[in-house]
Amino acid sequence: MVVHDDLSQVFAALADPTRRDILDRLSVRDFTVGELAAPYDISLPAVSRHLRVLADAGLVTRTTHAQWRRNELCVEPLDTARNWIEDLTRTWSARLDRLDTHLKETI
Amino acid sequence: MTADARNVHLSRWFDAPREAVWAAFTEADQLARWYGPAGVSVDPASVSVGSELGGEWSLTMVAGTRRIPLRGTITQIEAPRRLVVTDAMPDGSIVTMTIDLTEEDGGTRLTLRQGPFPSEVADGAETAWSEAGDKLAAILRPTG
Repeated sequence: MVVHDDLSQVFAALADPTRRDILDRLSVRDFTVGELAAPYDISLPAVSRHLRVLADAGLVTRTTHAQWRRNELCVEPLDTARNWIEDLTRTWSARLDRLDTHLKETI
Repeated sequence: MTADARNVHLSRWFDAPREAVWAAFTEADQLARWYGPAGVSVDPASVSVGSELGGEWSLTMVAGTRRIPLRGTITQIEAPRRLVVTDAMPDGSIVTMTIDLTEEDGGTRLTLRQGPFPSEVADGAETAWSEAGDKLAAILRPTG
């Protein structure tokens, strides 16, 4: 089910070019923060902050592997965001199906 | 069903009198029974629907362990043909749901419009996708 504030969070996460570049690289394979930060002209903590924004939006999952955290891309929120109008329309359509059943049971 | 860039539109005919469809949207016990889409329920204790301008139109949906509150205000109400509910979103944007009911072929035609979804959601989508790297764009399903 598409929820408005989830979508806002995904698009806010995507609004930054560094974060889009991080996602682009993560679409190939997972990376540690250090590996992700290497090509950028910003500090490691700044890259960590970007990763946290992406993780909070559900776009990146972070797993601890030995001593290093690996960061992986989650495609599902991107698909939902890309198709949000269709998804919201589908949510409403399902809801109106239930309304139809409800009306048949009530009257 | 059609959709412009920022609003959802649906139109559906129900084999029920207009008063019954109106009641489904404006009576708390009824709303709780159908408002959740598949797999989603509504907490019946959470539903609050007023009958006048300025009244509340609120409920909380439950999807698994997740609770999703909707907190709306009735900004237009003309029983049994038009209901407009305005929701303030956590990010400060305003989303409006408009329900129009007309009698048609012995039943009721419902026209629903919801939006506008804020520019960061609609326009941001276009920017994000046009600027997404090739590899990222390649792994996403194309829109139908």
